Amino acid sequence: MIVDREQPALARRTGRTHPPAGGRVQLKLYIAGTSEKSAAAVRNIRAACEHGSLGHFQLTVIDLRKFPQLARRLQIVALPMLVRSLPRPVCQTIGDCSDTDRLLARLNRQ
Amino acid sequence: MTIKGTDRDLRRTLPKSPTSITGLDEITGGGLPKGRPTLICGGAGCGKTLLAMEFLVRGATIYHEPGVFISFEETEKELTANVASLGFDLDLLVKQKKIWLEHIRIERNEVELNGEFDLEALFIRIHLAIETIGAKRVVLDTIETLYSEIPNPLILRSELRRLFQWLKRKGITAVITAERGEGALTRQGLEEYVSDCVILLDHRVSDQSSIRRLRIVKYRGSTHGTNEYPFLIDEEGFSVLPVTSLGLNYFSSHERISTGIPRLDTMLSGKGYYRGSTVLVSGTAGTGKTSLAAKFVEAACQRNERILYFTFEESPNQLIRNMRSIGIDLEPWVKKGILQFHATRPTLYGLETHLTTSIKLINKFQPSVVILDPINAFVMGSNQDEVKTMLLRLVDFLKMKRITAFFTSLTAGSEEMEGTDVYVSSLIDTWLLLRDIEIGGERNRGLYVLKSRGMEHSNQIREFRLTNHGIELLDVYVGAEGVLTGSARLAQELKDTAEQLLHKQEIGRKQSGLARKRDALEAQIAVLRSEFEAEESEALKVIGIEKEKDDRTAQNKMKMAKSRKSDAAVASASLKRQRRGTKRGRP
Repeated sequence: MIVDREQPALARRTGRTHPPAGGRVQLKLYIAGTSEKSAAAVRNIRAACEHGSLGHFQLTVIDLRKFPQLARRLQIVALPMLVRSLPRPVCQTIGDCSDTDRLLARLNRQ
Repeated sequence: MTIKGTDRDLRRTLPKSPTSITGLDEITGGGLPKGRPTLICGGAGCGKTLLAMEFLVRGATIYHEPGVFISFEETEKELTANVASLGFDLDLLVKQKKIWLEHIRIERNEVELNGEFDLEALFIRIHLAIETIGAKRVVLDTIETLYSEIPNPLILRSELRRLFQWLKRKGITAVITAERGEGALTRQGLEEYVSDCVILLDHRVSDQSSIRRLRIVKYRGSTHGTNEYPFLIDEEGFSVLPVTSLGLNYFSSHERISTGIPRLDTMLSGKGYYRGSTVLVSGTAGTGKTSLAAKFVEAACQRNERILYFTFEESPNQLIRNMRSIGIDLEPWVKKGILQFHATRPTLYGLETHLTTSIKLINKFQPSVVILDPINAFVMGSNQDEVKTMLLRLVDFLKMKRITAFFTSLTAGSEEMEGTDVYVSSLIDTWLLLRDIEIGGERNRGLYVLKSRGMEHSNQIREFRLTNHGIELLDVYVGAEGVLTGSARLAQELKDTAEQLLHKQEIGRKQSGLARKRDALEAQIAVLRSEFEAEESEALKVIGIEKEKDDRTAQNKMKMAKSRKSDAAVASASLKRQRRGTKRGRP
């Protein structure tokens, strides 16, 4: 399930009706506008998540052009940045995630 | 000057962003290039962050140009605390929206790189900061840190290039600091794309003293000072000393000021030193250099001039006490506030710091006389050239301000007196030399004027005496025995007096002998004359008798002839009478 959110604070949480065995995976993708890299990142991550063995996941795409304060608050420098906030530990990936295998390996890491 | 000024006005120069940092605007010709990035590079702890911060704070407070400080190393709190010691209240400036502080930190172990990326978020953050306070100035302190945190130098390089161009397009005056690299200005070669202005800071230690220097490596489109300039960081911030750029165009005074010692004034064509000149007194240990300085100080104080006295060997108290022993009391002047002592150990800080603190003190106190006692305290190891450079800067500065400088210098006894001070001799206008003269088991002091530019000065050596009522200069004894001083001079003088007395007596004796001889001679002459007169009168008597005899004989003959009626005899007798008559008729 993919949720594109305009504003994180107002976002509703949607997901599958039953939790998967591996627990829920929560992802946040920070991008800047509609650049080629941003689009590629969204595309690559979607594809990886849907076709990969990730199970139940939630992806939120946040455009920092619209919420520049977030960049400061979250100490973001490089984009696109993917943050796995759940399950713990939090892990970050910078780049358009063109290497799907590597991305999945990282997201599946416990 | 005016021609130069208008000339400069006519030529459109690069717009500049003034830094208001002492000396920096002077050597950059007005500040950093406006609307362009400037690179400040240097090793660790050389003051890059501080220079950048001061540029920002001064811009915000003096020129109403708010500034953004993006720190990649220190947090906002650390930065605020660090610059508080320099008198910058960042908290207040942040509250007033004049300064924006932002710390950028990436924890590398959490981050993985996967595919293409850019630094768009950094752009967004800087943009946000600029927009929030309307910033004109931006500092990126030390952006190279990103290289260690994001291990993709190729992308970083192109992104940083893009960042600098983006800032330039926005018309932001940016300062980028960078760590100095091996054999290059920066570790990551930032100078390749921040090339409008590059300033290099350097912090070296030589002979255990540290020297900070600043050099403008490059300034595109502008002239700039090319030397290495010493700089200082103290409680008032950053200051650069561009004194060597001043040149030799200072005003020379014709005013003369007393040395405090009348006889020394006499030696310097009767009037003393020139105002604004540089005086050096050099001599071996204990020859009275400081006393000479103190006397000069006293004279200046009496003229109600302000004096700044830098002492590097004695504490002010000790100096005042010691000078009292030769009848110079400096304490009242200190109390009056026209004499200020500044005592530091030369080893306390580096040469440049000494120079800058001296200049700051001079600017604050505005003295008309400055004493440095002694200058050679700075010479340690092989730093003579640096000491000379420092003194040159100081002398230039003092001359510009028309301050009379008085230096003392200790010469090592074994070396050639004039040789050891050669490294400063060219800076000196009046050079007095004090030396020991060792004769007859005692040491005495001699003083002479080695040189004195622009005046006729004595070539004589004087005996220099420190007494409890001040300094005395005496003529030394110069004679067949050489130059004599002290007791030897006294002894020689006594000997001379005795000799003279003897000589006088001799002359007296000779004179009286002569008189006696003359008397004897005259007596003899008188005797001879009286003898002669006696003989003469005797002879005249005889002659008279003989003549009478003759006449009687002639009369007798005449009588006989008359009686014999002889004509011839009568005729000849009448002829004789006629001749006598003509002779008598003549006048």
